[in-house]
Order: sequence, then structure tokens, then C-alpha cells
Amino acid sequence: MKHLLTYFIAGLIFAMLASGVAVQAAPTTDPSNDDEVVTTQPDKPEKKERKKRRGKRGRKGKKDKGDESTSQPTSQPSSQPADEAESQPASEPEDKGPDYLAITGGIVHTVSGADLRHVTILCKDGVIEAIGSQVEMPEGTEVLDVSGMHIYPGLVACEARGIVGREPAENTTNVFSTTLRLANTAGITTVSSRTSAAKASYGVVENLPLRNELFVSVRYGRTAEQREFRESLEKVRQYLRDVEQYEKAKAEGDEDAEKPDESVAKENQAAYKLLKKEAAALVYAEEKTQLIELADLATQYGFDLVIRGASEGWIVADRLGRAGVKVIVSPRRQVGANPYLVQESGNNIENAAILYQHGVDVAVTPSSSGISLVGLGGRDMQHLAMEAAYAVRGGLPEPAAIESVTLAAARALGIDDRVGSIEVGKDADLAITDGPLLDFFTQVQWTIVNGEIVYDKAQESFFAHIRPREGTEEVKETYSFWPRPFKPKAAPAPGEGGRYGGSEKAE
Amino acid sequence: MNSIYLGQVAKRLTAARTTLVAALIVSTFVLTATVQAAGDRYTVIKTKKAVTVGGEEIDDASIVIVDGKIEAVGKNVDYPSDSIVIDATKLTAMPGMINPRTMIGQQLPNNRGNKSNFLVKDEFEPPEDETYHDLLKAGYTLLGVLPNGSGLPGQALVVPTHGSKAGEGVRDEGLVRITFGRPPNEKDALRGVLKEAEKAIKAEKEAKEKAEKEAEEKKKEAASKPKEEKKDQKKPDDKGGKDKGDGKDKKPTSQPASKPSEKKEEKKEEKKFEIKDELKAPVKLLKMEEGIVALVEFARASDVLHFVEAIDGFEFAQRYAFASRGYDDLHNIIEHDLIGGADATVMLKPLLPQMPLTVNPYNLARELIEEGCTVGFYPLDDNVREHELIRERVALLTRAGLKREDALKALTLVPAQYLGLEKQYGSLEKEKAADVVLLDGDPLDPFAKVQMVVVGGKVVFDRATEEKDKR
Repeated sequence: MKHLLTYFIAGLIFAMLASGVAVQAAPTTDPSNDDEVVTTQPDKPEKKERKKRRGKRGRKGKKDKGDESTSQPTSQPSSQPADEAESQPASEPEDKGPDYLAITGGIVHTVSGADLRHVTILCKDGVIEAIGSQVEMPEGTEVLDVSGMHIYPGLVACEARGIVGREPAENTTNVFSTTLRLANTAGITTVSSRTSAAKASYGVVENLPLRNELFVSVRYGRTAEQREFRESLEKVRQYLRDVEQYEKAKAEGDEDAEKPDESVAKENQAAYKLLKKEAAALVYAEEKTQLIELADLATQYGFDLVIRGASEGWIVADRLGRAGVKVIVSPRRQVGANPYLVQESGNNIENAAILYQHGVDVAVTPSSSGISLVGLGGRDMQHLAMEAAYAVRGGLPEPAAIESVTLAAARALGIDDRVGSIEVGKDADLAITDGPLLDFFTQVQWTIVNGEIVYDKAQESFFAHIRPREGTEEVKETYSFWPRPFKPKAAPAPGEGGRYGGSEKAE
Repeated sequence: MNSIYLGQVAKRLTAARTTLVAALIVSTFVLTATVQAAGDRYTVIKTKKAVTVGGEEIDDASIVIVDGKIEAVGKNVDYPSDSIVIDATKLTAMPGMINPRTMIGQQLPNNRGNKSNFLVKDEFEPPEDETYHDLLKAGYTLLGVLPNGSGLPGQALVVPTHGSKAGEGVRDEGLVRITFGRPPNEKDALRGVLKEAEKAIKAEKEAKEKAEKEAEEKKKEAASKPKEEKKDQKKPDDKGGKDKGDGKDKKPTSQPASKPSEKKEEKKEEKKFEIKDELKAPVKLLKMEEGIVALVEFARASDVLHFVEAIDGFEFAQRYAFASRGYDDLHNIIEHDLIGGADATVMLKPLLPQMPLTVNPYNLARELIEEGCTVGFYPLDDNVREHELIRERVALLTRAGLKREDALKALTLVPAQYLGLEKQYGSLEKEKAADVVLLDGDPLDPFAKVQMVVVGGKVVFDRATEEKDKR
């Protein structure tokens, strides 16, 4: 907020100047005595200045990187081709070169591999450039010392609502919404909403989209829907077989081969996409019979299946595991047992654990999919880590629980090539906490999205005063521009000035 | 102007009792007599105080008006002895207020997408005289009428509230409205329009260069073969016409040509390049031509960021307005330095917004001004009540720290600047239009009422006369 102070000083100087002008000016009607602010030229382009001064969070696109004059990292990490920097065209002198951020100290929970200590994570332009104990930092690297903290990959919120906008999220997200800000306070960096996944970064509109058309939504509730789904799968499978045969025949030179009816693919687009493996199916299913049927269909027709709900999954976990199904469960969700069945039914606190034991890829999301500011707290998306912790109570190993809100969730969404773990080449999305992620005491201290710090606990009034971070006992006001020193005006002398505002003479 | 005023009186009269008719006729005759006699003569308004907005506040000032324009404002100014003197020695004068963003009394089509070639002028139906009269009564003398719709719905029209019935504009083109942030596809749409415009500029340039080359070649040819001169001369004459191809092809039947043949012609003669109607305004914007400016309208603070991303790489003259009613996230404009610093012109609703989920108010206008912006206000709504209330709302903002001079400018000079008319309107200064509003108190005193409005040296509203008529 240094710039605000500068403006304030500039404002003061300006005010002094303006008052000086006012005193000197003779009371004439000459327009040359106009205040400077108003006599700007007409229809003048007003953009140039503004773009430069855009918020410091405004991240540069990939095209901006590459200034030869700034020093490149001397030790190129293995994943990055060493000649990349040299091959880049010389950019305009205005470009500052790549943005570097180094996170030093702390315990790195990579999720995909072992936990690392005494290492530095170097991020370049929003991508993790290097992880290691002897990473050389280029000149101008912003260093964040997080000694004593835990570093996790940014949390992935599956099936969230109201955090990012409708698809396409990069065009519709209100990046200043309170829900988005609260998502960042919870360490959430990626949000999937219906069929698209996007980054959640407060105040940034660049580089938001991750993937659109994640899923083919399939309804599998009522009998008619079930029948329809089965029929369309069968039709498309037949069609694909026909196409294969037709192409084979054509390749063999058979000109009489009849081209299969293309309308089948158009009419059953969902099934077509599934069988072509263009997208996975997202199905809401809780009951074990549905789960079994879906698992069988997935095995039979060979499509990727993600089941949301699956509270009775523990009963049929073996079948789900064999079918290679991914599930998105809400461990705290309660479903009563069916009293008319002589079999097991209803939810189980061990649900996630049993599913995990049987090789099912378990992702966790709260049953309340948004961030709510009313009702019972602690059950919404803001407490995503708590939801995973509840699965640990039911027997899920802690690493698996951490994975269930990071890498497993990214896998369920098909975006694990970019987010979900701390690896070289992945996006620099990190949640830095002051304790183990699943501990109730733990608070997120920093959230980093695309190599930019979008949340710093000590800088925001939400949680800064709760167990304040060492060295930051003094809570900084979030909105430092308000209240400004507000000087009530002295009452105007009788006969001078009006009631409202008064005249300047009164001062 | 006078006739309209009389029309007003006459309308009111029909509702009044017949016994009042005689008295009224007498009074109107008196009024017409004084005003009509004016002609090119000087008019002098003697005031208690003149709030010039552009300059100082002058006590006991006289405003000298000639030819509808202000000649001089000052304490001791000279004027001919036969001048018409309007006695307002108990009143405070301020320039007429300007509403830069309104859709008053309109039945305009709801344009979507890029309709930037639409001019409000073409379809503007001026509202009833009574509406105009009520606006004058509230102190408003100029309206910026925006095209209706979203995207690039068209170009605005600026009309005086006391003009002729046909709604002759002070300015009728060059104010391109761009709305941003409501429908989700606007970002792509705007980007698309700008890219198309860029392409058009390129194509135009290429076509021009080609045409010049060809012309040179033809000149050379013509110099060598004087016989062909006649044929070549025809072509430059055809410029701008649609049937350019005919000169060369010599096929008059091909005029209602089918599409493929048209394309062929285009390929053959690219110099006859024409920019599409709906791209003309964006092209002008991108060329940074004088007299064209985009009036960009945001709903939320987030839209500013989206807008900056959408126009990345393009530059054109812009002025901004925040049209959201709730003001729930506009503090981000300051907090994240979205607009500050640049000498941007920003129009706001005169409200004191609160921080989200709190009751802490903040003075957005003041903060923006301190960051170097030029801030103006427009009424919350198009109804007359809001036009009357605006001085009170702005007065509240001055109590919350807005400077008095900024507040006054925000009602007059800044809206004029927003509409590109700051040289003609917005303050009581020499050479500017003589739109003078006379109040019985300070302009920022909500209890002060507009007592008289003088436009171009003629009294177009006088509360005293009107109240006498009513009785």
C-alpha cells in the first residue's frame, strides 16, 4: 500500500498548489484560470498510463517473458530445455523479463512423491521451475521465507458452485467476489464448476482457464434415464463398430461398403463422446445398485467414469475398484440405511477409507458445494481440508486424505497434468500452512496461484488476528485507504459559507 | 424557446380555472414583450453570487450574455445601458447541470452486439415538454441520451432540455457506448470487433497503397499512351460508389450480381475497399481520430480487469462509467489501482458505498479524485425526482470529505467533459453557452431551490411566475 501513501502526499501537494493558484488568481472570468484537472484535452486517449499502473497482481502472459539482459538461472532444471531462453526473441525494453518467486524453507509435501525439507521452490512465470536444496536464484527473484511452515499443492475444489463464473470462466468470473477471496483463504487454487475447471485467484483475470468440457453429464436416476443411457451407449458402440468395419472394407478396396448413418453420433452425442474417450462421464449416484450398474457399464463399454456422491460405495467398493472408477465423496454426508433391506445400506464413516483400500481413486468435496456466509459454518467449501480430515477419522491414511483434495481431485477432473502436486513443470499453485493441513489448528498463511501470492494471512483482516503469525502481531488494516484522516471542517463564521460544504474561505 | 415556455403555460392553463385565464394572458404577454425585444441586445443577470465552477466564486457578480453566449462574469463588468437586466440579486448563479447518461423518454430499440453505427439521433423521440420542464426545474439543461442495449449499442446524442421539439442535438455522433460485464460473451464480442476493425484498417491501408501504385502506373501509361486517358479518368470519379466494377467489366447487367461474382470483383479490384458500416466507428476509434471516444460502462470492479484484458494491444480514447447500483465491490478500483493515476474521466452514481459485509462507508469519488481521476456524477435513475435529489446526494458526499469544488465540477463541468463539450458547456465563463441556473441558496444546500433558469439570455423557467400562474 506504499503507492497509496504516495498518492496522498501527491494529493496534498496538489491541494497546496491549487489553493496557491486560487489565492493568486484575480477574480476574472478568464477561462485560463481553470483548475488543471478539468482542462484536459478533449477526446484524448486515456489508456496508456493506466495499463502500466494496473495492479501489481496483474500477471503477464507468457508472451511477455524473455528479456536477454536479465540474468537467467545458471543451473537449468532438468525439465526445462536449456536453450529455451536463448531461442526467445528479444523483447521490448519495457519488459521486465520473467517473474521469479522463490519459496524457501518449510516442509514441502509434494503429494506425488516424498516430503522434502530444506528445499527451495523456484517459480518462473507461474510454473514451478526447480525444486532443490541448491537452486540458484536469478536476479530480481522475489523470495518468500516460510521456515517452519508446511507447503502443500493448492487445493482443488471439485464440484464447487459460485466461486468462479459460468463457462468460460475467464470471461465471466467476478475476480473481486468475496467467495473467491474466501476460497483463497482456504488454500483453494483450482475450482471445478459443472463442466469446466479454472483457477481461483483473487484480483487476477489472466491465465484462469484450465480445461473446459471436463465431463459429459449423465443422468442415471430414474428408470427411464437409465434405459435411455444404456440404449444410447449400445447404439453408439454399434455405430463405432460399423465405422470400423466400413473403414476396413474401404481400405481393402471394397467400394460397395455402406457408410454408417452419422446421425447416430449426433443424436447420442454424450455417449459418443464417452466412447471416443473425449471426456469422462460425471454421474450423481448414491445407492449401491446404481453404483454396481454404472461400474458394470463402465467396464462393459470402456469409458471413464467419475461418480459424485457414492455414499454407499463402501458396500460395493471392490466392484468400483475393479472398474477403475473415480469417486468424489463427501465423508460427512449422512444417508440413512434403508430399513426394508436385509442388506447393508446407508453411509459409513469408513466410506472413503474402504474405497481407497479397494483401489478407487477418492477425491473429497464438501456436500455444501459453495462458500456460504449463513447457516451452519464449517461444512462448506471453505473447510475443504476439514472434510478430508473427517475421512481420516474414518480410517483413510493421512497422505491419501491430502491427496483426495489435491492430486486425486485433479485426476478426477483430468487436469493432473497442470495442478495437484508440487512437481517441476506444474503450475505454481501452493497453499502454505502453519501446520499439518488436516489439523484443526492449522491455518493457511499464504496462497499462491500461478506464481503470484494472492492471499497473505497477515495482510487480510479475515484471520490475521487469530493466532497471528510470528513477527506480524500488528494486524494490518485490510482497507488502508479508509478511513483516511477525516478533518471535520470548522464551523463557518457567521455570514460566511453555507451549511453544506461551506465556502473555501471558511477554512 | 419562448414558444415552448408559452406552450407549457398554455397546457397548465387548460387545467386551471377560466377565471385565471385573463391574468395569465396578461402575464405571458409581458414576458414575450421583454424577451422578444432582446434580439441581439445584451442581457445582464445581476446575482448575489456566481458559482462559476471553472473559476472563482464571485459575490455580487453580473453575468453578461450576448448571442446566447456568456460575454463576461464579474463584479464590475461593463455592459451597454440598453441591456436587458434580469434582477436576481437574491439568487446564486451556477452553470446548468448536465446529465451525461440518461435514456429519458425513449422508445429506442434494444441493440445487442455491435451496432455502433446506430445513431440515437435517428430514432430519438423527445419526451414531453413537461418532462423537459421538470428537468429544467431541477437545474438540468443538457442531457446525454445513450443508445439502449448491450455490447456496442450505438452512438449517443446530446440534447438540451429547452430546445426545439425535434430534439436537435448539440452533438449527435462520436460518443460510442460500450457496455461491459453483464452478458458473459461481451468480452469475446468486444475483442472480436476490435480485431475485425484492425483487419479492416490493414485492408484499407493495403488497398490504398495498391490503388496509389496502380494510379502511378496508369499515369505513366497515360503519359505514354494518351489515347487511354478517357477510360482511366472514369475510375477516380467512381470512388465511393457501389458499382465500381462496372467501369472495367463494362457489364451493366452484373449490377445486381450474385455473391460469387461480387467476390471475384473484389479480388480483381481491391482498391474499391469499403469498411462495413458497423465497423466504421471502431475503426475510427482505433485510428484515434479526433471527436470519437468510447464511453465504457462497467457493472463491477472485476469488469475493469476483464476489459483491460479484452482490449489488450488496442488503444483508443475511453471514458468510464460505473453503472452498478449496489456498489458492492467498487472499493477494489482503489485498492487494486484499476483506474487511478491516469487522467481518466469516471462517471459515478452519487452514493456513499460501504465496504462489503460491513457498515463502513467510503467515499469512492473522493478517493478516485485523489488518485488523479476526474469524477462526475449522474442521477441514480431517469426519473425527475432523482434529478432533483442529486444536489442533496452530492452534498452528503461533500460532508464525507469530497471537496466542494470537485463536487460542483462533478455536476457540471465533468459531465460536459465526458460528452466532449467542455469548451461549450459546464461553467460560467466567457464564450461558453449561457445556461445559467439561479438558486435561492448555495448549490450544495439541499434546501435551496432552483428559482430561475436562463438559457441563451432568455428566462426559460421562473418559479415566481409559475407559482403566480398556479394560483
